[in-house]
Amino acid sequence: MALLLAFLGAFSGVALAGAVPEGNEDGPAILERRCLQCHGPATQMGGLDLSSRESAIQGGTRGAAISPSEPSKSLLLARVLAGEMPPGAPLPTDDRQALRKWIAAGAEWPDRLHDRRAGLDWWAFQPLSPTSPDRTDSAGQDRPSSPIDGWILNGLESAGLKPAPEVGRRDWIRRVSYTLTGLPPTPEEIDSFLADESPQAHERVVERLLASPHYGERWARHWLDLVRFAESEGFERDLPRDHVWPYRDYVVQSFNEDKSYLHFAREQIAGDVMENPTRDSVVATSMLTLGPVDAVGLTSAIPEERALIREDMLEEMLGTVTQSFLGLTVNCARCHDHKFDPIPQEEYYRMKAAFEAVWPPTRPVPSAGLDALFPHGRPILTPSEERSRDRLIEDFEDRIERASAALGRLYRNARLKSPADGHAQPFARWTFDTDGRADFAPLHLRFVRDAEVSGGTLGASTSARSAGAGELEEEDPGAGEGFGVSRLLDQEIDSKTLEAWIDVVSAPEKSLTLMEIRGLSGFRGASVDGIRYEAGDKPRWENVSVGRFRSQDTGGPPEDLQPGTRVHVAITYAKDGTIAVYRDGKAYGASYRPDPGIPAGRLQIYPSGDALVRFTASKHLRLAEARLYDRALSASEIAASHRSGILDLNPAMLFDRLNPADQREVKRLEHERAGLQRRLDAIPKPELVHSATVRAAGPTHVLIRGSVSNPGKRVLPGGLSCIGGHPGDLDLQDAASEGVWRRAMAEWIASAENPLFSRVIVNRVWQAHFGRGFVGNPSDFGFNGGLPSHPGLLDQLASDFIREGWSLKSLHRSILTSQVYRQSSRHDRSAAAKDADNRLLWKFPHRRLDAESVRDSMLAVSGELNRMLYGNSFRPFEFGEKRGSLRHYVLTQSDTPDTRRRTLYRMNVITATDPLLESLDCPLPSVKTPRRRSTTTPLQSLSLMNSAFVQLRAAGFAARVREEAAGVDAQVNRAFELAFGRRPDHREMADSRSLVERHGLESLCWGLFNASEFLYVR
Amino acid sequence: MRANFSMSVDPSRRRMLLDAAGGFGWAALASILPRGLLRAADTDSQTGLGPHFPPRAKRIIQVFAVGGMSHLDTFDFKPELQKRDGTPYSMPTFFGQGGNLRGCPWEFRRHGESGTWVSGLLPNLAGQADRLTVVRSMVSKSANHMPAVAQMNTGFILTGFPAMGAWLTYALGAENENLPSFVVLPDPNSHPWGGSAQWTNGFLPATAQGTAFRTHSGGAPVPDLEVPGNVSAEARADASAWLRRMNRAYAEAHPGDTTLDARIRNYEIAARMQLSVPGIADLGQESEATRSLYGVDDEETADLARNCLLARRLVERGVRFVQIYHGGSGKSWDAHSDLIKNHEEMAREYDRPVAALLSDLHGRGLLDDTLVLGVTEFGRTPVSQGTGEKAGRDHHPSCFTCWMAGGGLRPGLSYGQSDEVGNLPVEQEVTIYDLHATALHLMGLDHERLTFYHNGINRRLTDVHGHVVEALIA
Repeated sequence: MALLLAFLGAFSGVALAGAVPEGNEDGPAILERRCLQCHGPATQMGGLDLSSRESAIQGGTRGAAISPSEPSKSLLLARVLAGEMPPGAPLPTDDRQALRKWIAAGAEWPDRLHDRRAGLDWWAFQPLSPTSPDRTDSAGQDRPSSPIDGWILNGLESAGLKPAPEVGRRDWIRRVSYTLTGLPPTPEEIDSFLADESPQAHERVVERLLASPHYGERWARHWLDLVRFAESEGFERDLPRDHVWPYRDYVVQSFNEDKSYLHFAREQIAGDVMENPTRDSVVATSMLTLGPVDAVGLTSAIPEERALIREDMLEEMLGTVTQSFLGLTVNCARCHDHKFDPIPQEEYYRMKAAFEAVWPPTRPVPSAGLDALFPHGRPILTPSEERSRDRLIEDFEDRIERASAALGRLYRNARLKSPADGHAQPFARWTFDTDGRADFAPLHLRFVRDAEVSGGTLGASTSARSAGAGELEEEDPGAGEGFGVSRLLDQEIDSKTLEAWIDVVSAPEKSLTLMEIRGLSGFRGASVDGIRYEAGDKPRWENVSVGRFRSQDTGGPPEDLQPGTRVHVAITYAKDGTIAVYRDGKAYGASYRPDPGIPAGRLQIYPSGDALVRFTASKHLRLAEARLYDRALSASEIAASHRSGILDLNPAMLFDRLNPADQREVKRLEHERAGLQRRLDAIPKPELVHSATVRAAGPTHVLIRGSVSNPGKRVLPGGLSCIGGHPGDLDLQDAASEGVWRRAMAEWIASAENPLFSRVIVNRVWQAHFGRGFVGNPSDFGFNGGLPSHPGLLDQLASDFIREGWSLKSLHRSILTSQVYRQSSRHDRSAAAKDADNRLLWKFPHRRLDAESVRDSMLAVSGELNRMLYGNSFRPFEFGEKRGSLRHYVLTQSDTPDTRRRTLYRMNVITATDPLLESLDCPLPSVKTPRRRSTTTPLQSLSLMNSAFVQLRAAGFAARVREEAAGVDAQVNRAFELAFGRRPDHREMADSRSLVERHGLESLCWGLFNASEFLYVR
Repeated sequence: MRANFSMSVDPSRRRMLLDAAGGFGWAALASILPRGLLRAADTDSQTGLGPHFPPRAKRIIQVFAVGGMSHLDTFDFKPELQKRDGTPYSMPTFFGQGGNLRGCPWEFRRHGESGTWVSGLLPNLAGQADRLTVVRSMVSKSANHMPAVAQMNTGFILTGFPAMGAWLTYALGAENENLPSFVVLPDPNSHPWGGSAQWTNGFLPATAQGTAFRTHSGGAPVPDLEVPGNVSAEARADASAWLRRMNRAYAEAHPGDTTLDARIRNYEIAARMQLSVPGIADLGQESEATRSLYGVDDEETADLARNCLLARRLVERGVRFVQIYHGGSGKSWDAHSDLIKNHEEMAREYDRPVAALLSDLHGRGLLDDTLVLGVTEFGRTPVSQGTGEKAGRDHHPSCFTCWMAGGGLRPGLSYGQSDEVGNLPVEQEVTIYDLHATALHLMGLDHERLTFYHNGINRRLTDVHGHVVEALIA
């Protein structure tokens, strides 16, 4: 028994040691982490091996490293304390002290070191060494048909095991159909395969399936698991990402085209900065930025918090890149040298440097005053297309602006007098006679959502036209009110007066800020002042401010808004911070001075270029006119302004006052402007896609202990130093562009010289065929991933893969046509006793279908599968139910042709996962999943038994069977053929017949969908 | 020699044992293997199971005050803050609009023999003062709701890590196989930020995932619990019998795959859940006295009262971990403005049901081995956000209060000390890792040995941190 366990232990290869606690390491741990790479059992620089007490005392060319008699004089200590060792990266003080203490205490080694972490001699870091299996013909053994079989047989024989016999043809075609397409074979496909007696019958099936577009769908899902494909932002808002699906299609297409894996990888890392980027290569870079975005945290008022969140994003990105392509957890070296693999902390930062500028195409929408960032897409245009499009748009906008300005001048000439006459001169004035243009200052308005000027006032659109200004709709799906948003201030404003004439349509039930001036730099720090109607117990006028620091009930009488009346409201903001509210020219309550002891209590300054004026378009309160003054008006000035009132003008009245020549000119200009607007609207909108986008980034520094407030030395981009024959020094210049850096990184990662790059993907492909790779932890080829079960075969497949032009389809062919893949899944108790995990592949593993295959198979078997390829994701949920300030997803039980597409096309929203899929181990979209689990739980049984989806499919299945077969026996036969790919035996027929006779076909179909035979592949 | 931290059993060895035992069937196997090991085989999980040492508590009820309950207005009495009310104080805040110091608007008093300080906001809970163990020196990592809630649940601020309930389920399995062992009772008004990611099994087997009950009135408490209306009981019974025969035959033909037997069992458990869960969720079975103790029929307290009472019924029947949310992304304790209105409203909903839960558990002798955790994601700033009567307090992760009660704790203890205005802990700082390590310890688990290998790391609930706070333990 002990021997047996030892044997199995060697294959299990899983390291079970706990994580080493940080900061309190003892001497041996420090040696392990910092010294043994060069002075260990594998590499003994200077002849020194520090892995045991004996070898350390024995020392190297310079003598003993440890002196037991005089510990404090030990050479090891001297070199470390002098900062000479480790070269280039001396130990921090803590570590030096710990080493000194440990040596002084007698330098006791815990057995032999180096068995808990990988050194430079770790198998995965060595160059590929493809060799043929060394086969000797053993008696009675057929010569293996492929090198795969040779290697596998070698492994089996050395453990005294034999392969399983060949699988039956029905089982084989079902197996290979699921492997390649994730869908069951149809009864017709099975029959035609069974009838094909040629020796190429199997190959023909393989070729048919590889050529099917469903192949790409199936294999894209494996890849999407790996790169945590999420179509929502995560964190508290979890906003949907509407432009991510092109990446899913890019992956499907790449598999279907059998794109070179080398190219596939390079596109995803640097497709936007390649020599000749294409739409697809830009889309590919989505991979970098699919991680969750803490959009709210990124606008925190605390800079360290923002920096930390950004570092977390980069770690997530780098973790995805290095785990997916290299099978290395480089991200574990963010705070310290890697605990298990020879990756120094500095190299984490060198790799990070190449990605430092990469952001998701998320963008802020400050002009609407909406907080923070929104998911967005990047327009697909070449730089020159983008330039000419911008020029075109600018040109039209200029001409429209010129026409509008000319119109404005004509209309304004028609005004009888200026209200500025004899009164205070406004800084800007919006009369809303004909449009949102401003007088005196160029603070013209742009309208967002359903804001519009009509009948000489600004308010919410009364017509039922769909909310315009599509740009914002897209960025803030489902958002609320409309706004008139001005251009940026061209002059700083400190003391001020806001004044508005408000037409009451009805009294609003909710509080409403009608006119405000707001700063833009980050919504946490933004300041706002404005005229607010406070609804509630005591309706009143008040100044609005973030955090209410400058807001107070002035004690004015409760407001009682009467429909059809006009109210005049003004608020003055004096230099000393005093705020006064006026209603209809009279003081409204008492003026007040907020607490000047805190910054937010003082007069707010709105800088030029970083502030704007915003009006809310309400259907209750419409604005007849508004003015902004750059000083606090006196009470008498306000009274005078109220007395003189405003001119109630609208376009028709103004037009009538024009002379005929001007009237003609107005008509001409309006016609011209409408034409220009149509042409502007007709410029095709570029396709928007999710991708990587580049923002300016500062230099990359090593962060000591990963702390954003403790930057260490500056680093330039580079790869890892531990990979044999593939040095990580990229020799990049400081002045090189971000694109050059990232391209170089892509070429370093995705390279024939990088043995991890090919080994890792070959291992993943093997895993998808057999349920488990040579390395059981497919995204960790470091020490914790353990040793491969068949290193020779792995290296041979990897080098064949490179030779075949990185063709995945060739790799499939060689695996699928091997005898190993054609073994039956027959169980063998004595083999299981030797190799319970079947790592040596003495049988084909029996496995449950993954969640997507279960759902897709039910649709396929019931005949309801919508096989449409590609395109926008289907959304079996609604986004919009508002609880508090946030919108939520609510699952719907809709059953439409769209929802009957393959599960791949279900929108992968983090907080809108499907309970049936979840119970079948479908992972959260935001989690990197290199290998699916396969659990069986009571909740899974409940979902399979009772979920609406399964009921619908069972009903559809029954309807199909009724249509295709007459009579109970024929129907039972057909149902079994469709679901299991075989007919029932006599006992099953009798049992099923009686079930159908008593309860109808639906019961049988429900049973078939719940049967292990349907849910498993053998 | 460093100890081998892991209590893992080699998966190959376990499967081999199971395969070897195939001849004498599950019953015989169950008698020679610990129950946890048996479950692990079903689920393909990689760590051996069962407690590391005798537990002090067998189950946990966690009451999560979502949004950030103010420590300064509930348990952490700061006379100096009252004294300096309205005076300037410099500290960074999340919204960057920090005002002056603000005293607590409610009166603090000592309660019970222990003399535990509780404010007038929580009069009923104050009546339970001698059963509470109050930790006033908690610190968290994020000032943002979703990551902070995630840290309280999973130890990490990113989503995708297993919640504590999932770890416990994974480690200890279910006490009652007819019920999920990790049940979540969300506030019927809204889920917490992050939704189901807050009770995910993460990389642990799906058996460990939290089952969120539907807590709105009406409908089945568990998804897909009810047999669809158009399927008759007889049809379902006959079809299930047919299915069992088919699955039995298939399992016998494939002796190498133990999950096939587990599937058959799980259909049986599911069928029993269909019968048992609706009864458990039926609070009509409780006496009038109990219902009124919790406030089930009082509109203000009804939502949380129902969840607290249901939690007691669930733990009575062997559910390992029940998590109750009070508040969510809709209404919550997030008092940015109008602290008084917000906290009075939230406290009125919270105080009576939670106090009732403690006294009810005590009355039934359950409190001795049930650990009750009263948590929140962070506290609130000593400075006000906004001015005047309607001012609020901002998020404050650098110091806050949690309370605990029951299994293995020192009752009546107030632990940890914050500075004179409650801004930072001055002694006995307790991290969320420490809280988790202590809870696991009381459940008989060593937080350093409860590991699961994932993407290159032996993951723990406590990452690479955490110490058991021995002083809290009786």
